[in-house]
Amino acid sequence: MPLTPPRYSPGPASPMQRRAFLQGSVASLAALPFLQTGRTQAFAPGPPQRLVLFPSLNGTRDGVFWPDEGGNLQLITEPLAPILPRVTFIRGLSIAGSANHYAIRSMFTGAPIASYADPEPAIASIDQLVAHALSERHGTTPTPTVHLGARPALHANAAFSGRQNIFRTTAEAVTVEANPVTAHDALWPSQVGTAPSPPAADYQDLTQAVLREELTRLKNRAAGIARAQAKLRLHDRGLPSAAQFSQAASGSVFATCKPHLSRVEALRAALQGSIHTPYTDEYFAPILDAHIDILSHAITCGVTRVATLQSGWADGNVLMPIADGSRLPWHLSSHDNAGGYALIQRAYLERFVRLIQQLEVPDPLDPTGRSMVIDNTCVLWMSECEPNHSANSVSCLYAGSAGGRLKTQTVIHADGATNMHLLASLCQAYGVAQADAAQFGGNALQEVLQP
Amino acid sequence: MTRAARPSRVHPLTSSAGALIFCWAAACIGEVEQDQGTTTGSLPNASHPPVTPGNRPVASDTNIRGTTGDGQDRCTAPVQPALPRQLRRLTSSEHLASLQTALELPDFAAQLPPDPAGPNGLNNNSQLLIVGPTFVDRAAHIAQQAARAFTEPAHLQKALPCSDDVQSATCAAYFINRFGRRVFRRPLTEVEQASYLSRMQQIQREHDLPSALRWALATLLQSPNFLYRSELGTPQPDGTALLDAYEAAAILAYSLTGQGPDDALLDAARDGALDTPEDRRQAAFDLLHEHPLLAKRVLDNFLDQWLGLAALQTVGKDHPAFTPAIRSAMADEMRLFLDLVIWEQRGGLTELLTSRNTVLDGTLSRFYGYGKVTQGNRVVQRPSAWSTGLLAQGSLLALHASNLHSSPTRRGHFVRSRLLCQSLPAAPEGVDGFPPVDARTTRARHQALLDTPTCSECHVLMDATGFAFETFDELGRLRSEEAGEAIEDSGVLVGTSQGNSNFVGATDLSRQLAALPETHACLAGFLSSYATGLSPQETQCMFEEETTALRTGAMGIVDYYVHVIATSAASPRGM
Repeated sequence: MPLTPPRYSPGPASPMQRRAFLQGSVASLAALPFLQTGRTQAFAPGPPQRLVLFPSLNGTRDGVFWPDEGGNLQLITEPLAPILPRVTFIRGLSIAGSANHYAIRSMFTGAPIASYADPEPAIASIDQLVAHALSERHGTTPTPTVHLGARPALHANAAFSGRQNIFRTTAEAVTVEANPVTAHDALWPSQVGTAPSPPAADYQDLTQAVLREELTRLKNRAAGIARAQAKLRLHDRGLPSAAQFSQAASGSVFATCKPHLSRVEALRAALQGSIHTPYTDEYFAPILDAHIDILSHAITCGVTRVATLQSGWADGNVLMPIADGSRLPWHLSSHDNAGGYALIQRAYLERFVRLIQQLEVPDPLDPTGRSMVIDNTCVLWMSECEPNHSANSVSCLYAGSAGGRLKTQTVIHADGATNMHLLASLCQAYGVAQADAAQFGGNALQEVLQP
Repeated sequence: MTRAARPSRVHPLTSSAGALIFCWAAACIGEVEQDQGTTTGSLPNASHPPVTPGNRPVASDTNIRGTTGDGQDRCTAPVQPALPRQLRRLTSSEHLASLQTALELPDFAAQLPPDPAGPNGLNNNSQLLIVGPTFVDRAAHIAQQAARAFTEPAHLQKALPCSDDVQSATCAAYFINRFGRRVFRRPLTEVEQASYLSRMQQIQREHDLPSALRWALATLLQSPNFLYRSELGTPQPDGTALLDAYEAAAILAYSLTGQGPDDALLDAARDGALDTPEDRRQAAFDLLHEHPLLAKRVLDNFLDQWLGLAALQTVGKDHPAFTPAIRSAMADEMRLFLDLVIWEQRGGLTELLTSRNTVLDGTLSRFYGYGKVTQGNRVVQRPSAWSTGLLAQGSLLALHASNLHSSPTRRGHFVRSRLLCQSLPAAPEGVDGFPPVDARTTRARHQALLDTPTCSECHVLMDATGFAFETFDELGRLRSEEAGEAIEDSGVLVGTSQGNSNFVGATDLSRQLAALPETHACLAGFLSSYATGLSPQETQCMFEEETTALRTGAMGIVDYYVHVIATSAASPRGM
């Protein structure tokens, strides 16, 4: 078992590469012999579906997460407002056969994990099953699955040392890449060192130029006021990047397949080639933001169809910046600072929303040109437990309809249902062979499926 | 005419404003048929003398300076703390109102993301009002919508006649001076003017003037200078920062009218009429006098949030009598009651808790079992059995009850959290329902909680208080028995600055609450938090003089709020 996260390099399969964050197709198939034959269900032709798993570790408190009886969003979920037509809440879901933070090993595999001491399950998580089904149906992609994580463990040497893994093949846990520069250069090797595209000289660019000038002046005026500075930094980061304007101006989403990801480039000097630096608090939030950009571009242009993003680790205390610019310890806050923890989750959900919005572009893989990438994608947010360690009624929502196969803009009350039912539903939605989906028990949560 | 040229006025609510508001709201009509002690209503006289900027009350009792629930003195620091320098993002309603007034588009509609509620339930907490990617997107969309609406030919011609000449070389500058000033709530600096005008000239050359105006407006409305209210001030040698006149104007306008400063207030800032603390105090009272309905809307918004009234429309009840019409009538009753006590009587918390009046129509009167009122809403005086004041309002009683039963827990929790500002722990994991007891009444079931050691530690704070309201069922209706047993509404109020005290019924509880300094300090904290966008902790000790006046009755709620706003606009900021 490696002690350091491997770096991706194309080539023959090896145990290292099988566990690399970019799960090579040959390697994955070799590691999943039970997926080799007879699994593809009848599935209508269409643009390829995509799947992103977005675990929300340590859970959320009910009162600030679920929409109220009037459908009003709460403190954490208020950022969902602009994408609400894309969103479905699943309320009442429990994690079968598990609880507490050790349920991270159950949530996407369906394996019953009854304690921290239980051994690793020897079954694959759903990302691997879906990736295989999609490659059977649509052919392989350069990287069938991408696994990114912002400080996904206490430190690099502790990463993936067992019993903290969320995603896995049947043989072993996947490796989650913590360094966005490494990930970027592996996914787009031809882009290394290229200059950014100049922004389009349209009036949107004029607007952005003025807004950035004004933000700068206001920052100067607010010098020394920490809370105001934090607000303005957040505001600044929220403005569209030059690359996004270049993309919008060109009208071609293929432009995103040759990305200049400013959030990645901003980290290049500090992180290039580094294994340990990404595991420091200082870089946690910038890395998380850079990972979002990498995922959205990889999904959009077809570099991969399945990706996962892990933020911190279960019961870990990464310092998450919240709205006022302060940073709070993730796990400790979940237990002793309900208000602060809600702001942590809100900040994390804002990243989820940004990912969805970046997928709100015409799907370059749809020959009809009628669908958006998010139409063909499902981005699933799910927790392993609640802050009180109960695995009953964990927070769960998704955005996107996976090619019209999942219902959106609804709240599903699924009391009594478990992650097994939801995962079985995803198998149906993505055409995973019944034999492979059997690990989830076969009973789908029909309420999420379009008839 | 600039605001400086106006004659100064006495306190606005002594004359027509208060009466106007109340008559508008309560209709001031109706006949009451005597039933169960209902008496013909009449408008009581104002209970407080007018308070003007010049005769602000002086604390008569400085020994109690806002005590906490445990009776500890809050403000022992010898130096009065200062409000912080801050940037406050406009709330959704301020954002929309600013657009409508600045662009002269009163019907412009847009949907901004809802503002998140802070820890105290108020949705204008500056810490939480942030501009992230989501908000940027939405604000951009709305800015473009508004810019398109403004440059519709008919509107543009009316709002900006010089735009008729599409080649005009000066209209862009006029636009920036007039509309840019409204949007930024201050004149643009020379650098800013040059930035906009050079780009507008480029667009005008390539297209036409309306295109340039559309671009400029869309950009102005996305600007941080629009999205944030600046309370940064200018640093001074003594370590403080002084708000400039435009920053003060924005505080006054948003806090008292819910929208940005109008041209007259901006002119007053320009002309030096808001330079001194006295000017700013006077301007606060002027605004209240000139825009009583807008001010009332601002305070109504506060009251809705403080009392959680929005939930009334959705609270679940398994009872066919609790119809949408009843919910609506209850909401009206509460609104009219608040109008009566807060605006007409100029009351404070004591009056809110102990007023014998309410405002009923026939439907609601019959629903409650109080008697018959006809011909619309009517001020009535409650018989003693109906209890008194805010806590006897049907809306609150129904809100803080379960769908099938009254709930001493929820009603007591409301008293603790909203009137005493005490935080209570969440229910522990695994707790589900009541201890198994053979009990027929709500009180008996909740008494079982108090008799269970693991439950009583918290429930004694809530249930023992909430027993006061057992004379009202889950819908807020009067009752004398439950399941054949007489109602028992005695209880004990524990954990206050006065120790523990027994009470009998809601009237007695309300009277005791009104006598506690912490209830007044709690409301003062909510109000100052709403006024400043800060948490109650951050405003502690900031408005001691006003808080003492609120507690002693020298100020009512409206007076307190206006004084806090005036103090906020007039005070230097800490560095």
